[in-house]
Amino acid sequence: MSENLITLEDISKTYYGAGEPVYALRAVSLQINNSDMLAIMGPSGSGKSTMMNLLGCLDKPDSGTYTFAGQDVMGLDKDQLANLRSILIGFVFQNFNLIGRANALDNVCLPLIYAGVTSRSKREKRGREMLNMVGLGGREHHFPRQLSGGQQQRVAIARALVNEPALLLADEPTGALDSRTSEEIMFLLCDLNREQGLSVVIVTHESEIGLHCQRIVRLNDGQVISEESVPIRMHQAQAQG
Amino acid sequence: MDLLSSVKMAWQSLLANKMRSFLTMLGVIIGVGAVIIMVALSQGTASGITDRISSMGSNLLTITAGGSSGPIRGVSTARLTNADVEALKTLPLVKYVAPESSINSATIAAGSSTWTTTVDGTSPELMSIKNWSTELGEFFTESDLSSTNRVAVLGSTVAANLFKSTSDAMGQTIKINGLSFNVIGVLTTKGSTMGSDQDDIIYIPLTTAQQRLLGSTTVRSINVQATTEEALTPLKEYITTLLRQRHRLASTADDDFRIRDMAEILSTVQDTTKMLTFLLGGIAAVSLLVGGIGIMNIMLVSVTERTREIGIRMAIGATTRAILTQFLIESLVLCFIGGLMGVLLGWGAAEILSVVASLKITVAPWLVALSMGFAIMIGVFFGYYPARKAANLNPIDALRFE
Repeated sequence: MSENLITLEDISKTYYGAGEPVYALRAVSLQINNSDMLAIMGPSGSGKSTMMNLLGCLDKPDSGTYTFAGQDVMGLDKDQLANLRSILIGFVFQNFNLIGRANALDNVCLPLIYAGVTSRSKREKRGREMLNMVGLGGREHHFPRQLSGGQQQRVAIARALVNEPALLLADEPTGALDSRTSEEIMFLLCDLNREQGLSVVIVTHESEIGLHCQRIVRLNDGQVISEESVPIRMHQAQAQG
Repeated sequence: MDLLSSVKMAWQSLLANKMRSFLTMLGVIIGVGAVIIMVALSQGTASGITDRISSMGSNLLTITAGGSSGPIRGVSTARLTNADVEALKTLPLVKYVAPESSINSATIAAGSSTWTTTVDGTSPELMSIKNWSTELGEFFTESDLSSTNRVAVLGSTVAANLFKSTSDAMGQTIKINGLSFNVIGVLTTKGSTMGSDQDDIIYIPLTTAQQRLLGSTTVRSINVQATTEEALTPLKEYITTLLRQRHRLASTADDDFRIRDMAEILSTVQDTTKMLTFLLGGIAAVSLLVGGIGIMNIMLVSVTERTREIGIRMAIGATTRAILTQFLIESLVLCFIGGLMGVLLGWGAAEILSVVASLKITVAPWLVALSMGFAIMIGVFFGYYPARKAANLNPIDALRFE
């Protein structure tokens, strides 16, 4: 795999609603490499959500060039985007977005069904591995309502990673968690990034979260206003005591 | 995405709303049940009638007075008489001739019990023509006819209503409209056709009926059995010629009698029951259709409720087709289970009805297949629009839906 995972060049996105058109993104360029850990930050209305939708291939930009793992995203249709999401992207949301009437294992296995893994035993084996990895071994048959917020987010992370994606896209992953649990989740994401070389993009407005990442991209008014490296990341700081 | 996982997924989401799923299914259950019971009922009735008619033999002719154009009985002056009957017996190709003349509601008394029923005056040949047998005693004979004996043969319903048990009836004296008759036999039970009890009748010699009860020498109808089925057509012509001659009809006049053969009656009955089947089946099918609309309604509600879930599924890689399939299968599962339960309901109702109403009702395999097929069609047809709606959702809007 090439060093370069995502390239955005001169990306624009405009929403035409009832009133004035909203220029959500204006000629944004951004590059994300494999094994990057990136925070996208900015106040509300800065274009964060639009950025997240575009990076997650839930939507396509109006203009510009967009390459994801060597594929030209601009030319893909709805189902091709779905297939790309299925294989290359894992989503983690603020409110976990687990399916309530399915247990933890079924939630984790769901992307495998959509990715076309027809063998049930193969799916469940893989699902169990993922739950073990996020530290939830033994809770396969718990339903989301029986799990704490942090546990639910772990299930969501396991679900996001079950298809071994190239990118984990997290939208305010700690927004609904207390500070201790938040930190645990962030350390889990950092570990995944360091140990498995997973690219992680976190969209957040909490500055603390940014300190776990290698890079912080700040958006305002639909444009990138700064891009900075984090000199000492949180886990390094803690390791140094 | 494989079918088994889709079915399992659909099953889970239906289980999540058990009551709602059941109520939605109820429309299909009642619809399919109604189709089955209605069609089975009319089929059962039809086969009961046709069986009875064909058991009488297909080489049977029935002559009634009055032309085919004059259905108003009281107005017709035409009569069939005993002399006509005797003349018919001389025709070639004739095997049996049995005239009938009846008193429609005669009052019967035996001891302290009374009963109102039809009294039919006829000749012993009727037994041979209709293939009947007696359970007890004997049918009356030609000599009873010639000596106008006051003897009676009871249908099993009459016997059961007048006497404690059928065997008590033998040798007893009953009064028909005040006139004493000696019971010499009880007929074997024949069952009922279209709700009319074939055993609620008393047979007495025709001559006795004419002289003692009716006071005329006319007969209401004459049953003629031909020697073979092929003989029917020539025999009809012989009879027509003979009766026209005997009734002294001018060559331009219409017949003042009507000859019907069993095949003709059979086809009339079959046409009628076929219409009945279509009518009842059609009404039931409408209720199935209404059930389908109920399914569409609930599926639309379900799609709206689960917008967010649909968004999640799309985000983790579900294609348009996967979502479409999921919702279509949900509606299919609803209709399939509803259909199965409807079949059981219809079947059960048919079984109960066949016992209660003593009708021969059978649920044919093709009927089960047809109504299941119809239910599945309804599932696809009414499930498609909501499924399409779900599949066409925009993942971003769906994810943001509260």
